[in-house]
Amino acid sequence: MKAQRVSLWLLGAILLLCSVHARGLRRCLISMDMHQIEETFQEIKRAIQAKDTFQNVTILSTSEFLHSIKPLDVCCVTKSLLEFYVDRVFKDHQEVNPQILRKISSIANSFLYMQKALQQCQEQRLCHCGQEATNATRIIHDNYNQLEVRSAAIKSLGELDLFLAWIGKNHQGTSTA
Amino acid sequence: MMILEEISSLMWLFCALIPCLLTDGVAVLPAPQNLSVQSTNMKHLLMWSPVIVPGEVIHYSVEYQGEYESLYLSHIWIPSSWCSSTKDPECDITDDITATVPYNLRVRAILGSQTSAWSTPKHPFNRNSTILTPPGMEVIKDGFHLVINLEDLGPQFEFLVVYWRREPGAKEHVKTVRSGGIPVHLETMESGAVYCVKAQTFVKVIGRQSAFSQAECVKVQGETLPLALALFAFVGFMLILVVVPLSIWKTGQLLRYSCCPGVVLPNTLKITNSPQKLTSCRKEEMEVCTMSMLSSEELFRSGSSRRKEGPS
Repeated sequence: MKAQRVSLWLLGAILLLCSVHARGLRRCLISMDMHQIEETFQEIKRAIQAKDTFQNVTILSTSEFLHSIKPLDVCCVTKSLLEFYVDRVFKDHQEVNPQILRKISSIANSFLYMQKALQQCQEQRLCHCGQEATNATRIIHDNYNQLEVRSAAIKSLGELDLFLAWIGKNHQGTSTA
Repeated sequence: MMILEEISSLMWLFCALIPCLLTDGVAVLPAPQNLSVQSTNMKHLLMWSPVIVPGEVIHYSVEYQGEYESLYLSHIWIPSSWCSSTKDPECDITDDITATVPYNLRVRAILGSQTSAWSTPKHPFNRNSTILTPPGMEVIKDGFHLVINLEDLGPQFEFLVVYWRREPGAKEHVKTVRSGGIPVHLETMESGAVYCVKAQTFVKVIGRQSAFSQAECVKVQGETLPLALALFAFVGFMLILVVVPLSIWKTGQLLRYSCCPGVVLPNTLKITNSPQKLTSCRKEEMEVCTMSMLSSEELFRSGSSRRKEGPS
């Protein structure tokens, strides 16, 4: 009897901790206006995707790949993908059209802000990178490295709508901090 | 020694004149001064002191770079959406500042082919330093409905509305309104009570809210007045119900009397066809008179019956 009670208590405590942990992940990025960033990208999407000459290849892999990321890995994968875009993609792409440059700048600076917000989550130990998350990030970098840098950059830019939709789905703000 | 000093001062003078010589005697276009950003309710205005060149119209060019560009692509400056060439010494940079990061800004003056040096504000501008003011609010009393209309501040603004009944121990109700400019129903009020409303804005992208606006209160009219009105209306209605038929009847009578009077001559005043019989009645002829009176009665009766039959 006693052993049963103890195990029940333990189970309850574990469940409580898990729910708190999961809720903590969702508290990240609550002040993001994803809708605004998605709208900004929509304005240049056609022009960017038209420049992508390698239609049969994908860098972010298929959309199923992103959606198969487990909830516990979401924070880590978000952080890694933001770094991927900020450190590599936006720098490797050289835009000459001022209108498109303006929109890319807006998205890049918004990503920088998101990184800062996620940094706070990481400090609260809510953003642990497990093996699966690390593997997922590595796959994306490998895909990018297989293409010539300018083509890879334009392709990754063209796939921003997938990434933005995924962030919006996983980081919906339901309450104010 | 003296000669050397004179030569060095002449050299300084010469060097100072070189820019003038190179620009054919025209002075260098001065850069704009006193740059500052005034930001209220997420509308950002870059302002500076105008550059004055007598007789000339000066244009200004504004460029910006976000924190991303300053960290990773420091040579990239983006021309402002609205102020790549503007005559006014100010620029609405709201459409340029699209992320909550520090932005560097720079302005220079342009006169024909001449351009001044770039001028920058003392500090980078971050839109989270915008001044948020309490929202304008119109409280509407639509019958018993408490309705408010908040000012439209754009898609980045949400509103927190707090309303309560002004009585001791009353609970405050809170409602989130997603956008302004549209009437919003808060509550159906109870008569005789006073309701108060106040509101504040919340800007999600910077995670800040304004102070609350001044509370505005409205009162709903009590029940006593409508009751008195109802009673008054009922009494008036009853009066009308009685007075109107009465007056109609009276008017009808008046009309009847004036146009078709039904006046009948009494029997004693009726004149028979032999008026002498009546006048010649004396004592000795009383029997004859009575007989003639009877016959006149008969005459009257027969006459009246003939009249009743009317024209056939």
